Amino acid sequence: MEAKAAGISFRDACAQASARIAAMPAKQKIVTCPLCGEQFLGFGDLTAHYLAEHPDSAAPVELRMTVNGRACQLIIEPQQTLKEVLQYNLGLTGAKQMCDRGQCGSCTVILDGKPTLSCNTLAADCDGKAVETVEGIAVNPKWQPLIDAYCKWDAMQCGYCTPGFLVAAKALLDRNPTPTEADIKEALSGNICICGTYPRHSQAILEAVTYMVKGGAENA
Amino acid sequence: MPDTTGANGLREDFRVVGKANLPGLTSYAMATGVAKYGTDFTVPGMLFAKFLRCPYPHAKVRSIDESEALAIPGVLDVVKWDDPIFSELGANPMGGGGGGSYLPQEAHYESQEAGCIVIAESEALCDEALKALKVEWEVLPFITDIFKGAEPDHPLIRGPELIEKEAADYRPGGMATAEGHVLMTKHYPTDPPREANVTWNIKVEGDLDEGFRKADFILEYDVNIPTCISTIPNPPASVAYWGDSMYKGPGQKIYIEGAPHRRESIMSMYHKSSDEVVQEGLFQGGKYCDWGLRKSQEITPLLSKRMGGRPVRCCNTREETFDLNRNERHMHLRLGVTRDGVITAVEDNTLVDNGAPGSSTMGSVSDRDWGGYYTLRCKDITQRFKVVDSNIGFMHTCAQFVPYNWDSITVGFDLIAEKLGLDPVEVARRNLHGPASQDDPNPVPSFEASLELGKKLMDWQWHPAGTKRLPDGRLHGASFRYAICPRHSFMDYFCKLEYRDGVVHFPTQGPIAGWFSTECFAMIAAEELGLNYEDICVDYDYREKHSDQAGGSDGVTGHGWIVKECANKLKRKILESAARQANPEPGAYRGVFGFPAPPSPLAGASADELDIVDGKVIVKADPSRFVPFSRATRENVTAEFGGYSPKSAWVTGFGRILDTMNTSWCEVAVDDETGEVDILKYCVVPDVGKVIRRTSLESQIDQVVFFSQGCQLLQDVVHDPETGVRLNSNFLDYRVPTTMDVPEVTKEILELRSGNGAYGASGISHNLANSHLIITAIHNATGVWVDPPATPDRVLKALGKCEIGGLE
Amino acid sequence: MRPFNHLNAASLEEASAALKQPGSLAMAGGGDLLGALKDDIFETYPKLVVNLKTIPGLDGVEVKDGFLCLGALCMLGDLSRNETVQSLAPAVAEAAAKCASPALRENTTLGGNLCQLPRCWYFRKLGNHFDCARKGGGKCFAFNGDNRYHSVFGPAVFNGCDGAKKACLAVNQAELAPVLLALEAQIVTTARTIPIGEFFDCGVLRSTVLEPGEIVTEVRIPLPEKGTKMTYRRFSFRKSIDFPVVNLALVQKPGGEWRIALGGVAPTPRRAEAAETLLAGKALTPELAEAAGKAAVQGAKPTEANAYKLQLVKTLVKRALLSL
Repeated sequence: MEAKAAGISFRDACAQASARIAAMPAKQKIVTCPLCGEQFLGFGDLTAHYLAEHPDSAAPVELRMTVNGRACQLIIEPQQTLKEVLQYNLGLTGAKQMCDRGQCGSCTVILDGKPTLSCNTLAADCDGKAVETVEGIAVNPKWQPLIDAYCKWDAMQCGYCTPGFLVAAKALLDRNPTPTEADIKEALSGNICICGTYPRHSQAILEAVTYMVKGGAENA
Repeated sequence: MPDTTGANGLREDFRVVGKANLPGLTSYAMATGVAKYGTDFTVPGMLFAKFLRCPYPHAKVRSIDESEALAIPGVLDVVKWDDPIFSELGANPMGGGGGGSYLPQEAHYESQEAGCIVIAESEALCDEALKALKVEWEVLPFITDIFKGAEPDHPLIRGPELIEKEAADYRPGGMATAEGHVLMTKHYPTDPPREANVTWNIKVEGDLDEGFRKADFILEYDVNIPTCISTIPNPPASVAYWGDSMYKGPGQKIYIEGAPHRRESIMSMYHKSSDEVVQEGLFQGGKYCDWGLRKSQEITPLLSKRMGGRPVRCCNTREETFDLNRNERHMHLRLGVTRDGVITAVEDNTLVDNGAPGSSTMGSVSDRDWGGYYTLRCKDITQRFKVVDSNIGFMHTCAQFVPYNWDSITVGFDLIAEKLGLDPVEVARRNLHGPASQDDPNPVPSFEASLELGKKLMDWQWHPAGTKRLPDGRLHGASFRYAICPRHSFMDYFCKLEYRDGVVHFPTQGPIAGWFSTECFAMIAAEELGLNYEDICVDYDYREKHSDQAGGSDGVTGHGWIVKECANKLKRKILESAARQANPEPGAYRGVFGFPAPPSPLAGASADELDIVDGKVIVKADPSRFVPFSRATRENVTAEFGGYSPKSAWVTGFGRILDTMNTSWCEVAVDDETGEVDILKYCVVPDVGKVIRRTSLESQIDQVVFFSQGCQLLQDVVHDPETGVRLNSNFLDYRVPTTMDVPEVTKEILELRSGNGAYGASGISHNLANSHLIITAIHNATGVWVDPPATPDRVLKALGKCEIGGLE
Repeated sequence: MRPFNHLNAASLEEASAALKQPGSLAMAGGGDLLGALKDDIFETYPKLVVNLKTIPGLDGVEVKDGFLCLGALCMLGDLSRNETVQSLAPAVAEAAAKCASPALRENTTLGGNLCQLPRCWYFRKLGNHFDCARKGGGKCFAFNGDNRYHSVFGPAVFNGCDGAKKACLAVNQAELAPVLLALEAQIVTTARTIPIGEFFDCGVLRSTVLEPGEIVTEVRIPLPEKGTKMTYRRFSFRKSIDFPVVNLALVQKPGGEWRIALGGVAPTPRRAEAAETLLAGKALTPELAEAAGKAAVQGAKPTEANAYKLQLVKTLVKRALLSL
């Protein structure tokens, strides 16, 4: 079971995040036509099939991205958002769909170093770019204090918007390793939580900063 | 009234309960993104389904021509309302489902599922297919303005069949309490007959005329409460497929994710036994007091079956997730008041939205028994609900904002204070009855303690409305309200604890819904068993009976009482087993391969002489004689306990006895040149009885305050007046507060130990919810009433700063 | 979102050629267009979406020939942090810093912000529900509908596809528009250079005068004279993730001349010329600031639901003046 295996410890959740990253297909060997289910050996064959069989349908495109440090070569449909490709093609569900219009921040990822709303970004626009998701942050030991602080302070209730907040927090700390509470509120102001966790994020991030920047002296 | 009925209710030495900063059991899974919600599940080879949704507030599908949709490559099926497949469905015990009427032809609110479902290889192709359908809609008369809807000549919006069904529904409906009290009743046989789109729900207590005769003056005022949206963060979604059952054969087992802890509904709808429905996902998301399954969560097994067992996913969009959290309500109050500020009569004439057919009555009429009126000494109360059918939306048992009518009292106190030049705190004091009953003249200790602390935190200095400006020129206003921290116990609860191979297991099916109740329960079990929080092994398993659906932080306490009793039962059984094993029958063999075992350190002691302390089973008289808890006994020991926690509010009546109470306080600055309202201070002093898990308790307070603030200052459901179409079903135009909008909430938590939950704990979240605390403070600042949401445009308008003419 | 084809344009020429084909739409950051496509608000759905972000060389900030030149693909987040912008045109950096929400600012382009479609909730309603004038339909639903966010200076009037006169009450809420108008910027496109005052247009399905295939490449701001003062103000109901209901920019030139531009109040960004005239050459006093606020809304024709915007403009103008 998902949650049982995730358990209480950091290591278990990280192991799962790590397993999900490892399970991402680096390159699709067999390509399935998304319209009729016929299978092909490569992108070229699929394109030819579209021209012959589905001339009026929008044809798939190739996409090369680095996701959480791993190079991926995918065949996607042009209208797919980055969020959809992460979920359907790569099995990464840390970016969540809440509003699907760029109005809530739950799907935040880091694209070429910048916080980005993956529901509001076409995957086809991301060719050649590097994407970092919450799973990638979770497996990087550098960010363990941040995740620890999030869990210690209940910076979540139902947990659905939490990964989006965590990614936005990480993006903030990349740019500003010692933010003030006001900086944090501003940086997280594009993320909607209905469970009332807003003050908890500032608390958790400030504590993580103490640990990460000042070596945890005040935290000990 | 402390918890004297259960084991250790008066415990003073807490090692675990009350602690802060213990990470939640699934917090790491949630923070790292590995926790999966309904929207997250994908299965290889899955198909996608989408419902046709009604684009009007009220309309009927006359016909659908699906030929063009089916011609699109990748579009596989269009299932129409009259398809025989729907007759296979059984009813959902939570409401809905049931045979041929599953997918209606007629929709009673915008975006309701109606007419057909499309199935395709991708979500994009579903959209393409829906666009290609030729749907002939018959647009029907609608009500989105309930004032207009209440007029006798307004066209009927419900057919005779529906009206008859509702009229027959003098129901013992909704939830019944242990003693058989019925909640959420919609109509009573004594109510006047239906008139056009209006039904009545009337409750008369005491003698209103007599009450008014005792009054020195009559105060008449309106309290308008708009609708608000149940902003569930995760759009309802599910994915399902059919697998083989070891017992029943191939293709007989349903695998469904996305409807956590609603396995019974799925079983019932698909005529399956418990071993034929697999549902491992745990994470429900923030469906606070929203217990309804959406069609997207329950239809996927049917569609999968139709598609030959291929998995099918169905997910609502945000727009399709704009269900109501609260029904619109307009209260017109008449209070009889003496010159001392004592209320002698309450006449409440309320116009309220009935919602679409089948909507929950919570927040419309069923809270007539829950209000603040019963905290008053006054017993002459008449409540008349004029209930208007509407096409505004559907409410799925949601009631984050009940009880509503508390704030008719909050506003009333403010007006009495204003009229008599009294501090509203004093007005409240003069009206509140005593702890034991409405006739009890004594002060309520919890209320007095909360008042004293609240006044101190606020540096409370009340002033008449519109009389104070801050140095920066803005108007200053303050307000106060009280409520009970209710003795919740929503239903009978159940708990099972197992001592297995030296470890205590707490099996639960979840769901993980956002109030950390499993963690609270584990803490209570650890406390009673002399263990640490980490020692309780919580086993999440969908097949288990125990469920966390406790009713937010309120219900956690009543449910926690059951866990406490269960833990004590387990403890007793462990000690009995340990004593049995430490004292074998004389002459019985005890050892390994003929080598006799040394006598147990517990030998000679009976179960009564043993205790569990700090992870050891000890002889009470001589603690140096002990065995580690993990080796207390070689037997597996199981304890189960179920039932009701003592004396919940459902039994005592809301407010009729007063034990754990709370006060909320607010100070605002109103910029009368821009209409901006800034919350300067927001203090909450709840007597929660006993803190179980401090960190999440504080978060629940923040949640309910932010929710209330959003609804008073920002959130506004807008319909086009001509067509009734909703104009802002998205997270940009329907504004939920952001990190930059919410106030800092000062919380001082009291623990007077007089609730009905474990250790005298009581509920918290619901009754801090309010519709008019900030609104009352704005009135105190400006001298005018602004109906919520008090957005700048409404504030400016109320201040008379929106002149239209005179612009050269 | 329904399917479409996609092109990562490698050059302006490639993008222009593709966009001249009927049924193609240009996309930069996508914040505006993707929502419109998901909500399926257009009469005709695009066959091709052309990504402009892959065109090199359009995201620079430089000072050239007396202009501060901002590439059309500059992200608002970058503009807000750019030191050249901060020192030469601080109000531009301020406006960029307040747009939308943090993540959106990192992916919203300057060009996209200026070219966005109106936010009118009738225009944007899911599934092209209201066949409104802006889309070629017969009427503007905001006239008799809920127009609390609509124009207080009357409708845009234009000739519809069918040749009939149309009116539309939607407003322009582009975050950067007022400040660029106050700074008298020019919009450089693949075909021409357009003074910003002439850039916005409300023809059917267009919010600008751009012709099919024409792409904004740069925004040029004449370098403000030394001693120029400027400020930006916005008012929104929510403090983040929100469009301004009113926004404005003030520029005071060293010679005592003023430029005041308002957004969110009219179909296009609007100069408050009466206020500029009133202020010209005079020393600022609280009374003058108040009078300038009143002058800024001269000629307004508000409805009962949106008259509050005039009060906001008056207050914001007055306070902005007094803060300079």
